[in-house]
Amino acid sequence: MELEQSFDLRTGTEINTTLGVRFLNEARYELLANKRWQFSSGFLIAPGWSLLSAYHLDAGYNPLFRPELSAHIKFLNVVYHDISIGTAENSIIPYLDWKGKNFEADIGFSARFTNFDRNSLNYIFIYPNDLIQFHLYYRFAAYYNWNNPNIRLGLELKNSDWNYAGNSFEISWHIDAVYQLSSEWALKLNFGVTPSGFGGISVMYNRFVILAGAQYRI
Amino acid sequence: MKLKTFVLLPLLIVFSTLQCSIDWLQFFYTPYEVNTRFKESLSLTPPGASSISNQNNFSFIQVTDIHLAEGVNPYLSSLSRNLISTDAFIIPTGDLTDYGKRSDFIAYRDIMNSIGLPYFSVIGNHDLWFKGWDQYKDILGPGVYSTHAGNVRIIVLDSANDTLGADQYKWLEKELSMKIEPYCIVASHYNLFSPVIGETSQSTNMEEVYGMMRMFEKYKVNYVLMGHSHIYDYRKINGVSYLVGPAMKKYSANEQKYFIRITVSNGQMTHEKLPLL
Repeated sequence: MELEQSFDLRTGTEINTTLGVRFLNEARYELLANKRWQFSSGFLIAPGWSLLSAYHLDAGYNPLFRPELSAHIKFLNVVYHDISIGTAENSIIPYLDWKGKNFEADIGFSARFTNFDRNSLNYIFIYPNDLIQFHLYYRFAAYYNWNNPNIRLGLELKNSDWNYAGNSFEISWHIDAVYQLSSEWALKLNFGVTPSGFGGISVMYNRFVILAGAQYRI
Repeated sequence: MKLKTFVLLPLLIVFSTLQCSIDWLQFFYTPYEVNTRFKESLSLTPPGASSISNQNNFSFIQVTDIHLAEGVNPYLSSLSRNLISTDAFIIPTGDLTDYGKRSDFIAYRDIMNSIGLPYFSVIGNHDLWFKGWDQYKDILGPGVYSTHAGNVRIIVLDSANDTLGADQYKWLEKELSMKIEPYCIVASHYNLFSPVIGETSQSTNMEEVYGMMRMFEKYKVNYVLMGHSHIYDYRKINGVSYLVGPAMKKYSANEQKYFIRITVSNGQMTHEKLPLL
């Protein structure tokens, strides 16, 4: 069996102008078996104005009609532990992923089940009827190699991340930079802004994120 | 052919939307941020408290998303003939005007004054368009305030940018903690949840939403009245009723419009969605 594996670690800060500052710490493992079956998993621990934890499990199959296209199903658990928020979200997300040379896109939808019962926040098999929401799930990224094949700059437009799936119109803008140190190691930097009110056409920017990390490939 | 389509189609869309007077720039920025408006609101005079003759048996009205344009909304003008003797006040939950025009705010105020009941206006995202805040505060007063009508505490929020901002968020908790009335209504424009699959108009910062919901639960808010999505939605979560009113915006002639009547009787607060006659 041919296996390709990668490990990502990243750390950073999220500023929410209403709620405060949070420190993001994320790890992710990705496996590609026989260039066909994909699996990834990761977690987020984010202390700050309130403790946030999240993890995801993602399984994919490639190729789907074309070598660039793969189909995925993702489970995402997000828990806001702080007593003043005390809420958990379990999301099931089917999506398609296109990986081109200079362009990547994920598009699907998330079925998000929100649990407000503080006694069962970590129980992932609870899907209460109080609040079930269906949202678009997307990420579009365009990349450019900046005068150097080892430096890649990207512009991302998305409402999702490894451990996050936002509302349909929660559109974040990100600048993504990757510096390939060797065939195994890469350094990564990501800066993003998220406006509030995008769908209502009265926008102010109230969330900012900066992440730095490294990737190791086997 | 393909190239022409790619060039001409976006141009056509842009020009046609310019005809609709949409302020596209507000996809990317707002002239006044919510923190600025909140500070200004605290220095403005809110609508005065009003009394209710029978505090055990009364009702009040929610209308929303009126989108008054060119000074006209026939549905709002017809509201007075739908009122009953127990109706004590009206809460219009935002998007009072379509484009934030001074003449439309004046027309809205005149129509509401002619109805003859106290009203507690909420600012919406459309009211901010084309620097509408300058007109709103001048004609209608603050966007954020706390007042009461009889034994109902009414807290009006400015969510017109889809966020409360840090100062208003803290202020909300303080106001809720100080309330002494047995009933409490929070009125805000942005709907907190997505009412139907594919609906894109709703609050986008869910953590802020969850924080607000915990406050409403803790301080026993009866109803959170909202608008924005134009689609009626109701759900009760942890004892708090979340209600998105149906829009009163005029799309075409002879549409059936609805309004909400909330009734207080025997210590219970309930609501009905009623057709506008």
